[in-house]
Amino acid sequence: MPNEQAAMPHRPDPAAAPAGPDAGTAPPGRPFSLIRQTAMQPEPSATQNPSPGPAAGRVPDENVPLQTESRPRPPAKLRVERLNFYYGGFHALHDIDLEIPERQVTAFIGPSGCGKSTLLRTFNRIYNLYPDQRATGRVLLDGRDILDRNQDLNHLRAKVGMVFQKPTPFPMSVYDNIAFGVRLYERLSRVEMHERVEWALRKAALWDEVKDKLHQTGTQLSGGQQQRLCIARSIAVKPEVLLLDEPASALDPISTMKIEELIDELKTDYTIVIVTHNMQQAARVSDYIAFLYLGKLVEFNETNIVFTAPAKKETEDYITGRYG
Amino acid sequence: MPRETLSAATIVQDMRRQHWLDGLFRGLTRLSALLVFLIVAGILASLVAGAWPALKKFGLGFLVHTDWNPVTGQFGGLVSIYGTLVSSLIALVIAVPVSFGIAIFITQLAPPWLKRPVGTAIELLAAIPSIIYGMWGLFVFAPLFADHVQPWLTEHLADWPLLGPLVDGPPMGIGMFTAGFILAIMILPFISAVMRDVFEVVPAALKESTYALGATTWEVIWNVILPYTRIGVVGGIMLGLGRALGETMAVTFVIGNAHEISASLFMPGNTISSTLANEFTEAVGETYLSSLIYLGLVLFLITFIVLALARLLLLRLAAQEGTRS
Amino acid sequence: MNRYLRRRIINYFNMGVSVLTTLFGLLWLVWLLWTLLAKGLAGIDWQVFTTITPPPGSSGGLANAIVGSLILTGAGVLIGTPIGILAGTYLNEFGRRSRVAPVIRFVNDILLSAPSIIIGVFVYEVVVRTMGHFSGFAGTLALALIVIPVVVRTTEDMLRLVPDSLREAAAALGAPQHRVITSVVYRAARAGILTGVMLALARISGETAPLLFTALNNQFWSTSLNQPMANLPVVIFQFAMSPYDDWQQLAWAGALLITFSILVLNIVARSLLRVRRPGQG
Repeated sequence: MPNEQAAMPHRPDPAAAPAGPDAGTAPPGRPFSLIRQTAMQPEPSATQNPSPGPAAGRVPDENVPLQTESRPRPPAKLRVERLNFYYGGFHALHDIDLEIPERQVTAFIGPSGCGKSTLLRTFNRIYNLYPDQRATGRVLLDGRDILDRNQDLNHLRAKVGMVFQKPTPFPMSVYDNIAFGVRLYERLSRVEMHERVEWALRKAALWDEVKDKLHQTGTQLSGGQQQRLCIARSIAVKPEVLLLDEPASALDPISTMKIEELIDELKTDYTIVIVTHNMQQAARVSDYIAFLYLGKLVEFNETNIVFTAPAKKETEDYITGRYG
Repeated sequence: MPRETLSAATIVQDMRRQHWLDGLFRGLTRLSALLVFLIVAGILASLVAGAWPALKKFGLGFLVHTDWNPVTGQFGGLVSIYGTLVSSLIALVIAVPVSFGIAIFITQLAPPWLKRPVGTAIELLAAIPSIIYGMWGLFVFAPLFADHVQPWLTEHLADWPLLGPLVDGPPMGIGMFTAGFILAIMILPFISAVMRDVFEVVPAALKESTYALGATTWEVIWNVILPYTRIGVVGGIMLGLGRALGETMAVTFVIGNAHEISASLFMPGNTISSTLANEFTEAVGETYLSSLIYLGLVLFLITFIVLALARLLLLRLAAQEGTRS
Repeated sequence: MNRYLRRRIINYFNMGVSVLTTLFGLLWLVWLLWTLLAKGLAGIDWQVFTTITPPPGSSGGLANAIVGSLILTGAGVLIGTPIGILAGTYLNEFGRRSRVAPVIRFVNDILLSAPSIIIGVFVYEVVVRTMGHFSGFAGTLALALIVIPVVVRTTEDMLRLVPDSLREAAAALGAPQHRVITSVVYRAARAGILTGVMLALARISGETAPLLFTALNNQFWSTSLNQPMANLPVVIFQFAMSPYDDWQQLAWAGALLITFSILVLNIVARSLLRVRRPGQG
């Protein structure tokens, strides 16, 4: 991953050293203030021991308030406690503890196979479609354990939306793609439904491109449009959390850029968790970063801190491109 | 109205309804799957029940006796069983090499633009109803065969030690051979389709490396493709055999419907299915009818065994592929 | 060089044989269709569609047999299709990990390859004997039993081609499983499933053996499923085997009708599958 170098710590100005095709196109208001943070951070690789301060806790603990220098951490929307995950006999996640802050973008990074997608897939229990996959521990959504047996999965998934790596438009019209999820839980009049569809498509920055083809099949759209359609479909049901599993990995740079802009805009309303293997993208879109390695959570902190002053050697190795 | 403002009661109601519908749908699919099982069990049970009087009366001896006499009430199935097996065997002897040739043509020789039309045309042979084959066989093929082919064969092969008796007899056109020949045309698309499928899965690297040694196309086919797909090919042949064994209408038209076993393939005979088609609705008396159903039971069991063997072979091929990859 | 020449000759010879076998296979298709056209076309006129099957020696048509065939095959498909689709759905969507599914799959294969005359005997035993007479209903049932395994097989195959990502995407919106399957998975696989149904329809359109013992035939106009019902295959069988020229001519006309309907069904079904493979995009 050559373009990961752009996110190397201590680079004086990451925005000035764009390696990716769409770097430098970031809209204002992004968490892109790496320089300011860098100056205040201790030398990251100088010590293996966590220094006091923001980079201290591998495991965020409620009782010890983390003093971030940029801003106080918002309350947790999702809290993961001692989560273990198994694919049949394979132990994929080990004792994960993590808090996902509300209305922020949290990115999961790590080399492929590290468990970042697996972790994401526990948040809406989509893994339950496959009988040999199981999770133990607790995942609290607004304080309620969603791993509980009595949790209604459909209801959970209506609250926790998900967008997948590859666009998955349903084989129906653009309009019905959006309306499908809405109809499951709400009874809207024609006018209301039309408003909702337009709202979702506008929110996903797709309306202008598809307003004349609402009754064409969703599969006829381009790849980038399909993915934005999937995002529109997810937000149309007004979820509280949006899970994005490498949403741009199959897309061209321009579509990627559009989706990143979209994420930035959506976080005012939604708690967003994104899995990405693109370091630059993580730096551009996220407020918080969780670095996973070999099924374990290695480090979790604010994005700028992780990139400028990672607490762990593994994190630093990964973000400097030494492996993965 | 955003969902949050929906009352909790509505959500609970929604969830209940969803669960109920989920259960209903799952139950319906289960029931349908169970129905498939019950149908086959029912077929077996009704055949055994229907054949019971004959089973009790004739026992397994039914399978080796040749009498078929509604007047005296003596029934044995050997003539029909023999006819079924022999006509199917003839069909295989003709259809297997032809299918092999077709499969090779389509997978190895044909230019890309020709593959699909030829493949479709051969598959359409399977779509033509069996009664059409029967009419065509009886009114078109049999007379031509009797006038032009049969006399020549009888004349030239009569003195051959083994073949001679097989081609003996008056040139009637209809008979065991004609039935087998028409069956061959009918099962050809099934066998060649399986052969095509398994030939396609031979890894290109394997073929290329053999070509790289300077092998001819035929040598690649004979030494690489065929050994590699052996089990699948046999499985396809078995599926074709299953088809031939149960085929009814085409055979009924051309086999001649005579209750006798002849050495000559040009003499009329009978198969289980043609006997059923001809006599079932006219059978009077319990013994007669149950003997016919007994025949049906035998046919069902034969096709079952052939199918099971074919599946087993194709499964082994699949398992083999699994370990290879 | 001598040896090389021999190998090449063997190769060319065998390749030549391969071409010949293909021509051999195609020959019968052409010959059969030619025969049907040559013998059947002469018999096709307006009367065939407007008058009922005649007694020997007088002229008539096939109207009652055509209508009967449409009713029998239509009803057979209507009964067999939902059961087949649901059972195929069970095999691919619910039974993936169950130990029952492989058994059902095998049993379905038995039904698929069971000789159709055996199906006829079964329905005769169960329905005709119980009711005491032949009936269109019994014929319909026999045809439905032939439709079911075909549809089960194609449904399962086609559902398997629908990628799991589509199921995940629908479930991730909070859709309950029955909605995931009926609204998304079926829709993705509909061309394939429809193909299966059309192929099943094509197959039963020409089936004769199972109707011999069930619907039998009817010389007259009858659309009651409780009565024996005229149908093309059995009429063709009886008329073709008869010594009367009129009847034989009608038999060829019927054969032409039935074969070309089936060929059209087959070709349409195939092209349907080619254009839209399930789960695309």
